[in-house]
Amino acid sequence: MHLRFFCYWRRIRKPLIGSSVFLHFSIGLLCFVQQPSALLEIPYLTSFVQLYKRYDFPQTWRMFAPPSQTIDEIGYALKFQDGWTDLLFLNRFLKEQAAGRVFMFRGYIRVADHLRHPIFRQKRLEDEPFYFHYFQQMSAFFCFGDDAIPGIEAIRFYSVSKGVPPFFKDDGNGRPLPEAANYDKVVPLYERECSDR
Amino acid sequence: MLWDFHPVMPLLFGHRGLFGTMEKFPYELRGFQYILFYHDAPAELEIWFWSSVSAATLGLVGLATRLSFLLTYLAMFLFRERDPFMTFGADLVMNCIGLWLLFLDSGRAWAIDNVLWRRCEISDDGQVEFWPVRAIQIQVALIYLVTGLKKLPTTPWQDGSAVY
Repeated sequence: MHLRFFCYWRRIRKPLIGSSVFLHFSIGLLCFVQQPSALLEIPYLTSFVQLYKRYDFPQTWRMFAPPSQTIDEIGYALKFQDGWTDLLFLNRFLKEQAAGRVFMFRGYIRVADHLRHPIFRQKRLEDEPFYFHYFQQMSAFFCFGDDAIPGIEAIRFYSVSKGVPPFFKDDGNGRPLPEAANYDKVVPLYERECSDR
Repeated sequence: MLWDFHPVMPLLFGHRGLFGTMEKFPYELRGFQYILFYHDAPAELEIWFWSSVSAATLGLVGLATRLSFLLTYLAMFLFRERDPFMTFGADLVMNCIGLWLLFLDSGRAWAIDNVLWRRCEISDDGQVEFWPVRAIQIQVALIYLVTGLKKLPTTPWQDGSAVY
């Protein structure tokens, strides 16, 4: 019995592995098909593709996003007894962490990644519990955590966007491109009083 | 890569760190992949880190290759689950390539495993399953293909400003 199964397995193993790998890549590619497409009308295919997307299987197949027209940063302001500070940037925190070091550990690139501006899918932060938690936890870090700032009463985070100046003067048809300043904006994201514990 | 984490572990993974566990998480974190959310004391982080480095070192020298690759892959997976904000594109590629490497019999060449097998006179036909390497090639090709297809229709790529 075992021998029969072994022989059978030996025979089907390579075609099975080959088909599975082929299927995985094919479904991954289908994840990038957009509506309306006849492919997405095949029964059960759409739900299967959705399942694939939900588990992030085709995650690395679109590694580099198109270049942004803005440079986005997380800004923050701190409230002390005498009022709010000016707008600060999390890059400053990174500089403080790395200051005075002869060698910069590569781990600080990880910290810099952590402090990057998230890409929101919804318009309101409250609609994105995961990112809401990110700011909630970061505020806890500055209020009560390892880097608690003495005398801090509240913290507020901002989304700060700056337009990237266009490389060309016009769009190639003589029409002027929008000025970089049109994209500049500062939007408050999250505020927290440091008195809840 | 694992080595990167050590100087900034309390900052990235600690209970009172940037993405600590002082606040209640918005979802219920159930399952093995979230273990670092529940064990983030400094001593626990050290144990977990050095265990991961040991597994990766075994993989590097080719001792118990299959197991050490699996453990290293799991270690990286747990890191990413603990703080997904610290990851970037290279981590995702590593994730995919790491997965295919699990199927590759890496201990058959330039590895201590190979030397041990020879000493034990374990016979083999000298053949190594090579399909995982082919899968990695396809994966990398797909990354560039899909990325290119996604970029091409966008204005900065069509007007050339993306390449300056």
